[in-house]
Amino acid sequence: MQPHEDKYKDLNLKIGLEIHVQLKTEQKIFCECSTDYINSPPNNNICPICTSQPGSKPMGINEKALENLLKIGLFLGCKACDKPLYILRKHYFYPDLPSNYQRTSQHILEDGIFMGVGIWEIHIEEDPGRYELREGKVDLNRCGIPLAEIVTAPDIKSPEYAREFLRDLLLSLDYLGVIRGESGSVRADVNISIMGGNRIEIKNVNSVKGVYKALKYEIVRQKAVLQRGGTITMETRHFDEGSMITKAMRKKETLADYRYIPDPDLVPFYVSPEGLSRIESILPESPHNKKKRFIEEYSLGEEIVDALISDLYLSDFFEECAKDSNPLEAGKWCATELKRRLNEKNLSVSTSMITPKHISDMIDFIEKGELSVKNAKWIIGDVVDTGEEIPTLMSKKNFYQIRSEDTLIKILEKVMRENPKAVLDYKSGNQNALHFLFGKVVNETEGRADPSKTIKLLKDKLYMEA
Amino acid sequence: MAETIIDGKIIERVSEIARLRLSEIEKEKFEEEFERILKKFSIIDEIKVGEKELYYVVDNVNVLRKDSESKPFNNINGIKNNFNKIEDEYIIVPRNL
Amino acid sequence: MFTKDLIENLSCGSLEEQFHKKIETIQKKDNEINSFITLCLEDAEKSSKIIQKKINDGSQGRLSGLIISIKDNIAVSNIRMTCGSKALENYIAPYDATIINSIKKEDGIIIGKCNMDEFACGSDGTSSYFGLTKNPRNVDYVSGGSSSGSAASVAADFADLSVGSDTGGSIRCPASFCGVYGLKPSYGLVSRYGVSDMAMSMEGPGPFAKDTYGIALLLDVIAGKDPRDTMTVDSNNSYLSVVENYRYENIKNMKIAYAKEFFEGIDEKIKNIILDKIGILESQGAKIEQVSLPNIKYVIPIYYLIVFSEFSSAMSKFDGFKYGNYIPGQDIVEAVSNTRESSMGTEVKRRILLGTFITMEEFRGRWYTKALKARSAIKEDFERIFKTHDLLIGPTMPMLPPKIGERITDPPAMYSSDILTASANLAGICASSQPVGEIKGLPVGLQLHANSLCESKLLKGMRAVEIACGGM
Repeated sequence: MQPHEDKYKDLNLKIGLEIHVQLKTEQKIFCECSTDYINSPPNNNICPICTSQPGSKPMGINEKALENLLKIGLFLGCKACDKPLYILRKHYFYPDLPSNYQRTSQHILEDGIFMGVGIWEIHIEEDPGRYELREGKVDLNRCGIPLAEIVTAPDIKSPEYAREFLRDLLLSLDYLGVIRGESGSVRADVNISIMGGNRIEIKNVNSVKGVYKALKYEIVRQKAVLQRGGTITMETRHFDEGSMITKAMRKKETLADYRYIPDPDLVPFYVSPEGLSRIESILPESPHNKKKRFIEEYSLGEEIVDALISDLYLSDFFEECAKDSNPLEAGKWCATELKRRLNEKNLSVSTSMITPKHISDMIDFIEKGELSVKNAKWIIGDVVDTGEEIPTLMSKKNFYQIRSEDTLIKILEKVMRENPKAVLDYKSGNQNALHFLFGKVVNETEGRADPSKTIKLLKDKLYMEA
Repeated sequence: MAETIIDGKIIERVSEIARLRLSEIEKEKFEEEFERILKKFSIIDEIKVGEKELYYVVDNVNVLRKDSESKPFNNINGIKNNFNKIEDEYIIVPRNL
Repeated sequence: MFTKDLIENLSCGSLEEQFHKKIETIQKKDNEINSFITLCLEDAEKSSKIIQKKINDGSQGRLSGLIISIKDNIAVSNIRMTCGSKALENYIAPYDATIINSIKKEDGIIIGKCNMDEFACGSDGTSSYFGLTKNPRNVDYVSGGSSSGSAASVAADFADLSVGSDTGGSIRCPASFCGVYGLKPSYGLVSRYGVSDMAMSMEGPGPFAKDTYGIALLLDVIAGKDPRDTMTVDSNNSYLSVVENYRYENIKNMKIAYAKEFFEGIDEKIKNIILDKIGILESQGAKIEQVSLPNIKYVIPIYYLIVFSEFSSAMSKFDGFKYGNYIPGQDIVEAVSNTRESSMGTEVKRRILLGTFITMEEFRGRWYTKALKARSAIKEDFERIFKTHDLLIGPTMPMLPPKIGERITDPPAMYSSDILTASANLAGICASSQPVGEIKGLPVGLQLHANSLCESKLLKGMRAVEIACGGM
């Protein structure tokens, strides 16, 4: 079962994503303009080709863009199509699209899988410019940035998993070094169907958070429509990033017939087997192979491994930790608490301050019985932001556990004195009283009392009293 | 009677997709003409054709280009001067509310 | 050879004098002919002075000051480019077409931008927003199109050479009607970068001149691989030397085919002139054989279905926002529809609408896809002929230039005038037209075809015909 699936079990949710990422290159896909469109004033990163001046023609496809796209595909376990591939013109009128058709290739790779979600196909296209609807302003700087479109099967079963999938996919692509990193460089079209309704497509979602919000909103909306006896017919909706809701598009905007034709200005291309094997040889280990290896080499459980390999930065990080610590412990900490904290703060191990040494030191303190699990969790939350050394934090926050029996006994005696009823309850056979008293000791020591020692001493003491 | 290829409704849809406003007179005129033109062109049905669609008459394939340092265009102002309306360097077009 | 002499004269005489003589002729006669939409006299005069200096120290390029006119669908930097349409009435091209770069580099003087059928949609030179082009041979007749001004400017001696473009006969038709030489290069030999698109899979620019020498000279300058046009191929040929080294006896090695279908239903007088020339070539030693082009009756539908489809796609870019004529509207849909409605002529609209229709989801299989499949059949017909023959000979046009005012306006009939020229574009091969006679003062053009990238053979054939017609 997919994580979070049970939350939406009755709805039989089917979610698919069409994800657009900007491929990392120096030049645009069909012309020699820079891809650094953000640092240029509006309409200053343009040329006759990317603004579709009469008579201009596209240059040959940027080889690097294609290579980066192939890396993505192979990494996601796709197979490359071995027929001649055409660049098609997809016709629709929009002010940010200078030729009023978008150049988009046929499927270049097909049939992969990532985090249990099928990848239907991947192709390359040109990015349009930007049209600010409300102000009626157009900037063509972005026109012609190479885009990869990754189309998933409708295998995702919750908005939560959609968010995790997208976040981890982006991290992996970033790890591969094939995409541009700026904010807003990911865009997705999201499709969703719930039991009893038709498939709805939501266009123009520009962030991971947006994908989650749009899906959450759609589930509520569609459920409400269906519950009141309405029907959900197939339609395309627009996501408004400001209000975080989806809106039906006007009829005029949805009346489309893309009239695909092969671009007469661009000859077809083939993906050569030699090119593929060259790319394969420089590609990092695939998630599939990594999973197998982690299970064999570190004896980790499948759930932990899945969480580690979905983020390649994290899996590298884990392997560093495992050199100096018990891999089972390191794996557990990386896959659970560390990952949770990073997600919460929208960070990755590559962007946070934490290092493998932090985790190893921390595990060391825990194993020596000097640090409690509870305080260890707090430490992770702190270190991802501060990068503070563990021993320094231990002293500063006074996290060393109290292990001296004399000290502990003094505290026990105080607690027992202050809670005579609990002591009596225990004597009359109520086991819960023991837990109550233990809790009091933990409070008294701000969590620093060594738990096993405390329990043992507490039992001895109560026994003696009896 | 031979089947009709084009009718008024299709002309209407075509003009919307092509973003070409047509007057009623033009619609009627084009409908009549298109029907005649396409009827005449229907003789291509006689040709025995294979499955191969001939898009290109050249043998070039895989014309790719090396990615290298970008080369800014030397007459960006020449492009901007043709913009219909420009404000703060943006092209101004109708809003979409 | 006329053009050769001209270059020799320029190299010892005064370029300025030549230049001013041309301007005078233009100012005297072009009000009537209307072969130019935009003249660039100031720039031209400036370059003539620079080139004169180069001539003086012997460092001039191959075009050494020849006056060249350019069809107005080819971009010349900082000069207006209208494509003969209101849509681009005030558009200043921000860049040079690749071939314009080459012409400038070889010291050609660009004198102006030539009139043409709107967006090259026409075969008679009458659909320009800037008025029709009259035939310099007889101003009561049309000049032919779509490169009407290119042919007329050379015929009227406003220019020594011209560059036009040919999608289905747009160089050869006006060359034939105006009595000048024109060559449609093989697809991919000459860069299309900077040539405004009509039907991109079939069109390309090509030269006009007063003789074969001029054609070869200009072709040498503009041919070759261009990174801005992925269709282009390398050209190492020196076409000019092919023409210069041609000897009368070379005709004995030529195998020339003629297709009987090219002579069916054409003007009898044209037929006789062409057959007469074929007779002369045969008597001079060429091997002439009859062949068959069984699919020629399908050429017009196949050609136009592809033209409509590609043209409607290419024309999408004209929305008035980035450039060109603009009519406001309440929202983007209305503004674009208004703009396109008011900026384009009837034939342009007709082609856009038909092209949109036949590429729509429900209809494309019957029309667009079908035409592409049939296109293979045409190409195969030519491949078969060129396996055993060097050239295919015939008339360029099935009729003489129509009188202005008597021209055909009904679309199916209008389209049929491309019957003899369009197949070369479908097959991507090269073809030429050259004057070989007159009927009541109106020129008759002879057409030669050669296989793809066999321009050398084509030029040899042109030279042979030129000599057969008494040319120097």
